[in-house]
Amino acid sequence: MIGLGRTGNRTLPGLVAAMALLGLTGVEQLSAQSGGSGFLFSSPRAAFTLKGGLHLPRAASGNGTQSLWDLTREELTVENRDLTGGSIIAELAVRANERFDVTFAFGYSLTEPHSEMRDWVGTDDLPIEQVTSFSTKPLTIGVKAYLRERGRSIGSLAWIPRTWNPYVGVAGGVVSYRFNQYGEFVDYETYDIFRDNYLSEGRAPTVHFIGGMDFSVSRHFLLVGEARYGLASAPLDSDFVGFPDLDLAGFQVTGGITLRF
Amino acid sequence: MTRTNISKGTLAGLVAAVALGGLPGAVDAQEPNTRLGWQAYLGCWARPANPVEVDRPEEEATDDGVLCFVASGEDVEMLTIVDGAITHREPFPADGQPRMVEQDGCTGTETSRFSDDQRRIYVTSEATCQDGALRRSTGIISMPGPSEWLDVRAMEVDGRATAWAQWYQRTSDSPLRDVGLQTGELEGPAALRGAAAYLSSQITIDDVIDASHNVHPEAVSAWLAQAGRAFARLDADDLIRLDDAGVPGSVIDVVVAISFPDRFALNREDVYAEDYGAAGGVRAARTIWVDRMYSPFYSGYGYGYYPYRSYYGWGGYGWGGYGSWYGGGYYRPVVVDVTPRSGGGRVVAGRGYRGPRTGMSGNQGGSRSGGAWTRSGGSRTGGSVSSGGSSSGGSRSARPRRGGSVEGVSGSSGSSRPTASSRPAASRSSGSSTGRTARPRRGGK
Repeated sequence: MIGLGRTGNRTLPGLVAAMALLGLTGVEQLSAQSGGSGFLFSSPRAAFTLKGGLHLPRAASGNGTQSLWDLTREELTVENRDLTGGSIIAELAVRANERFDVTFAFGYSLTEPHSEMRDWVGTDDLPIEQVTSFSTKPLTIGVKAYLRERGRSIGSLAWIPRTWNPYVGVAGGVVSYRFNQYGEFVDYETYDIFRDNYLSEGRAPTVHFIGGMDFSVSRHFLLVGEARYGLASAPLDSDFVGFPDLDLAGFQVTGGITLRF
Repeated sequence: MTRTNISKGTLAGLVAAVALGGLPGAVDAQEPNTRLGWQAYLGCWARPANPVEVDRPEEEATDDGVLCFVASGEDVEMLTIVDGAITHREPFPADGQPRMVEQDGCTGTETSRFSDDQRRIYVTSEATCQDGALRRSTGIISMPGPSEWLDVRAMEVDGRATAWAQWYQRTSDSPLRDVGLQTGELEGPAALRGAAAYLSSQITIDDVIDASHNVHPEAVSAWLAQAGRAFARLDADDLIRLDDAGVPGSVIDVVVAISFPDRFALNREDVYAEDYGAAGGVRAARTIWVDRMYSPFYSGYGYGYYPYRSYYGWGGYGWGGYGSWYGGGYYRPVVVDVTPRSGGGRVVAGRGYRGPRTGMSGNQGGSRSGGAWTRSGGSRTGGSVSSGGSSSGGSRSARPRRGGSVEGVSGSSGSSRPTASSRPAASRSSGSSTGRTARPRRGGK
């Protein structure tokens, strides 16, 4: 397994960190208008979260029939762990009440393992290389429930945020995917090595189950750690024939920063 | 000095007092029995000019004289001196013992006592008048500034409370000497300054908690608003302490508002006719106080300036206790509004634009003298208020336009939005041959 694609995956959390830093710099300068030391003048109405982390596709088998993921694992030097990619999630949470938020989230996950034909090499003894690129873009609306009250209102002009607070949530929506394998492949009839680009794109309904923890670090900012499991499957385009629906499910572990306002 | 239960929170103030004026040793040397808290009150006081006095009836425009405190054992005596004669004289015990009072057809009790740190006097009265109504009053007497003291009361009638306030400013003790009396105060201005500095030091969170436990929240809010002292470095822990101590939210709101004057307009409206005219007054959006004054001095609802003009002090709040001059003084009903500040000004129909009120961010550095109330950047004299405002970047004043021109604001241009370079979309190749052929990997199947 050649890790050529990992550089691209690592840029996602970096991007999140850079955006978070910009947000911290700008918002803290304005925050003097919205609260005192350790408190806000009113409870936040919404929060914007930017998270980055890892996406681990489930890449399930086909229950008796060979799935595209099965084929990939069998023919290419791709293991499940190689499918681990980067993920970013942007989420706007609108406060419904002290315990519940309505969330609007957009995510992007990408994994690009580079591989070789598992059982074949060129007659020149060089590996037969290809890339499997798999990305998902879930767009969801959901509900997030905090297990504790998020803050304490004192009078009508002060709101003190709680330091930490776990939450669970569920979200549903649409996930767009793109499965692309390109590079060198072997024609098993002629043993010729040819270049090709197999592509399937589509979208499917999805459901996400979410659990996480907020850590308040200032009046406006929280650190957030979250795990979410998404369920979805979608039919493949005509480049892939005879396979069951592609399993789009996966587990995401992300961390990020939340700006509440 | 017999009172020794000074709280820890006042230690710093005491140290300052000792440093400035030699307290408490000097107190003991001169008046060993007079409570520390009374020391700075000894002497004579006069009311500052009030804007509303422009409405004072002509026939009532007499010389109010001065109010003087003289030491009397642990406590003081209050004297009203008008035209060189003592017109009223009575003791003012602050010993926490209820005493019977009867005046103007009302009978009841009144209790006065110092706070543990002796920086405030809590006054509680309860009386039943001829109309059968029970009138309760609680209040705070304090010294927000070294040369002024403040009396704030909340009068409860039928479950509704109205706050009233009166300021007094230090004046010459010569009327006292003219009638052959001495204050019994500490000899020497340094000692007096020390006592005054201690009493007028910063209001603390503990002070607010203590006051809230002893008087009506309306009185506490009015006290804080009148004193106008910002709580430096107010933080979440302070607010939690207040809340945990049971301080009402309305009081905490005032604490927050006066601590963040750039964010909140604390319209410490001293109600007078100008604001309570036919339009019903100018009220802000987030009223935390009653927007219509209940007059304890009439039988029903009425706007605040009526009882103000009518010299409250009969049959209800102010009865007995402090004597006719004191009770008949110009207490001003106080309405405290907290509003998010959006520049702080208002636009009033028929009256045009009005800037932020002065005195909302604390009266540090302010003083009253000779009827004029001056603050840093603003002054109030004879009912007119002018202020330097709180705008940043220096103050400006207006002048009539003389064919002036309007300067345009030119926008900048020329910035170009960066164009994003998009990654070339992957396209299906035609499956071109590489010219290579495959063989099984060694060890492979």
